Amino acid sequence: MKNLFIDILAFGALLSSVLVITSKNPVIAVIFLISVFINAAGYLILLGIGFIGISYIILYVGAIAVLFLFVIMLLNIRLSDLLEAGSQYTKNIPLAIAIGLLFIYEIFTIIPFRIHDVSLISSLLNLITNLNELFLTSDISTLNVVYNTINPILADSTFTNFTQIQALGQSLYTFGAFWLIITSVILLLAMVAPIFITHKSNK
Amino acid sequence: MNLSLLLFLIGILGFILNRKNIILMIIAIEIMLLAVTLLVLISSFSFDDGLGQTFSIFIISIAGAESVIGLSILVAFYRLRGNISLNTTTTS
Amino acid sequence: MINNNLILIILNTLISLIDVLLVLLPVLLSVAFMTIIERKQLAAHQRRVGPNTVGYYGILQPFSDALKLILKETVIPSQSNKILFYLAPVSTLIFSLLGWGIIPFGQGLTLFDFSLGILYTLALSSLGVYGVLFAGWSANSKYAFLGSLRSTAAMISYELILSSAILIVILLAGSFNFTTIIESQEAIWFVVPLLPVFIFYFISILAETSRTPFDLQEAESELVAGFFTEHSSIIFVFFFLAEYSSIVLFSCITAILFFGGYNMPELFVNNTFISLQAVVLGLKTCVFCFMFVWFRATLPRLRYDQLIEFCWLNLLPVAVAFIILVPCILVAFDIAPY
Repeated sequence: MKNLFIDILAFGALLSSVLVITSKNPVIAVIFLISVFINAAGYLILLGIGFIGISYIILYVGAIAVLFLFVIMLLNIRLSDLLEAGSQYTKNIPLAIAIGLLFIYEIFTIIPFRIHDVSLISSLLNLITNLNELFLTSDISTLNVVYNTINPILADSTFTNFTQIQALGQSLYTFGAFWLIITSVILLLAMVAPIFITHKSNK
Repeated sequence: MNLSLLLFLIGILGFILNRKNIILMIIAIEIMLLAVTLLVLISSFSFDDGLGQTFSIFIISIAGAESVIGLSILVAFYRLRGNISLNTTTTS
Repeated sequence: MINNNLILIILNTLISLIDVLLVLLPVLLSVAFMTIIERKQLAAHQRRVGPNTVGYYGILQPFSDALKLILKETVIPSQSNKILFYLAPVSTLIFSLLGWGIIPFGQGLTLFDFSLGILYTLALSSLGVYGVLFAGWSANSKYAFLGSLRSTAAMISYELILSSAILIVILLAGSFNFTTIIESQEAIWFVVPLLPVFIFYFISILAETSRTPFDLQEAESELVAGFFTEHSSIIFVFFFLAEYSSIVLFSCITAILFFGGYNMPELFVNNTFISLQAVVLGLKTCVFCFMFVWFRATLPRLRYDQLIEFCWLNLLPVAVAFIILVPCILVAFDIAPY
C-alpha cells in the first residue's frame, strides 16, 4: 500500500514537472512547480526521510516559490512577448532530442535496468495476486490476520525521527562544519547581492 | 532513483526548449537541483547513511541563494530592457 | 470467514474516519461560535448590545449568517481564472483545518502524535499563504491583487518572527513533538522564562492571522475588502471559516507552547471522576481568543510601510538576539535538556 502511494507521488512529480516546462504562462508554471515540490516532499516523507521532506515544504514551497510568484506578478510581463518566444519552440527541438538521447544513453550504460525493477509494475502485479487471494481463496488470507495490530508505525516514529534530527545535527556541526561556514557566507552573499543589484540609485 | 534521473532529464529539456524565456529557465534549474538532491537523498538512504541528508541541506540552501540571485538579475534586466525575452536579434 | 483481512482493513479505515470527524466537528462548531463571540465582545467593548435576536441571546446568529451567505448567488468575474478562483478558498480552509491533526487535547488524546509536529505546523502556515496569493491573482481585479500582495508580504515577513520564537521554545523543550513540549512544562510554563519571546510571538501570530493592528488586506478605506473582494456566497464562507479557524488554532498552539497546554496547577488535579485536561486546554484557548478580539477593539491599524518596517527593523533584530542569548544561557548554566 505504502509502495503504491510512493509510486503515485513519483508519477505526480514527473507529470507536473512536464507540465512546468510546457506551460506558457509563468504563473501556471510556478503552480506546477509547487506541485512538483509537494509531491517530492510527500515521496521523501513516505520513504522515511521526514525531516528533509518537511523542510522541503517550508523552504521551497514557503519561500522560493513565493519569491518566484512575487517577481512574476509584480514585473507586469506582457503575455504576448512570452507567447512569441514560445513560437520559437521548434527551433530547439533537435538539440533537445540530441541531449536527451545522450543523457539516456549515458544513464543506461552506467545503470543496469530491468522491467521488474520498476516498482509500480511489480507492485501492480503483487496487488492483482493479493486481490485474487482475497476474493477467491480464503485459506491464505487467514495467515495475514496476525499483522493487524493498532498501527504499530505510530509508536516507533516518535523515537526514530528524532534521532534522525540528532544525527543530522551531529554530522552538520562536526565534519560538515567547514561547508556550513561556506554555505553561510553564500547565504549572506545571496542576501546582500539582490539588494545591491535591484537598488535604484536616485541621482 | 529512476524518479530523480527522469526529473533531471525533464529539467535539462526544459532548460533547452525554453531558451527565450528566462523565468522558465530559472525554474528548470530549480527542478534540476531538486532532482540532484533527491538522488543524493535516496541513494544515501538506501545505504542507510545519514551523510546524504547533511549534503541535501547544503544543496537546498545553495538552491535558495541561486534562485534569489537569478531573480534579482531578472528584475535588473527588466528595468534595463523593459521586457524579459532573450531576443538577441532584435535591438530594443 | 470469507475475508477477515478485508473487513479489518475497512473497520480500521472507518475508525480513523470517525476519529477525524470527532475532532473536526467540534472545531467547526467552535469556529462558528468564535464569530458570534467576536461580535458580542466587540459590542461589549463599545457599549452596544450586539446581535441578540436569533436564538437565545443571539447564539444562533452564525448559522443564520452562513445560511444567508450560502443562499446568495455566486458571482464570478468573467475574466478570472476559474479553477484557481475556486481552488484558493478551498485550499485556505483545508490548510487551516489540517493543523488540528496534531494538537494533543489530553494525555495521549491526539489524532497523530507526530514527532515533527512543530515543523508540520510551520509548513502548513507557509502553505496557507498560497490561498491568499492565488485568490487575489485569479480574480483579475486590481483591488483583490493589491490586497493579496500586501497580505502575502506581511504574512511571509512575520512568519520569520514566528519561526524564530518557536525555535527558542524548541531549544528549551528539546523536541519537535507537541506532547513532549507540554510535558516539559510540568514544572513551569514557558511564558515565565520566555516572557519577551512570548510578546513578539503574539505580535507575529496577530500578523500571521492578519488580525487588527495588521489587517492591511481589509483596509476598507484604501482597498475594498482585500483579496476576497470578488469572492461571494459560499466561497466567501470558506475564507471566513479559514480566518476564524486559524485564529482558534493559533490560540490553541499559543496555549500549548507557552502556557503548558493541558497541564494545570497541582491543586486542581482530580483523577477520580473525569479528566479535566481537555477542559483546561479549552479554557486557555478561550483566553487567547479573547485577547485577539480585545486587540481588535483597542488598537488602531498600522500603515503598510510601518508594518513591514516594524517587522524587519525592530522585531527581527530582537528575535535574532534572543536566538543567540537563550542557547548561551542554556550552555553557561548547563541546563540544556539534551
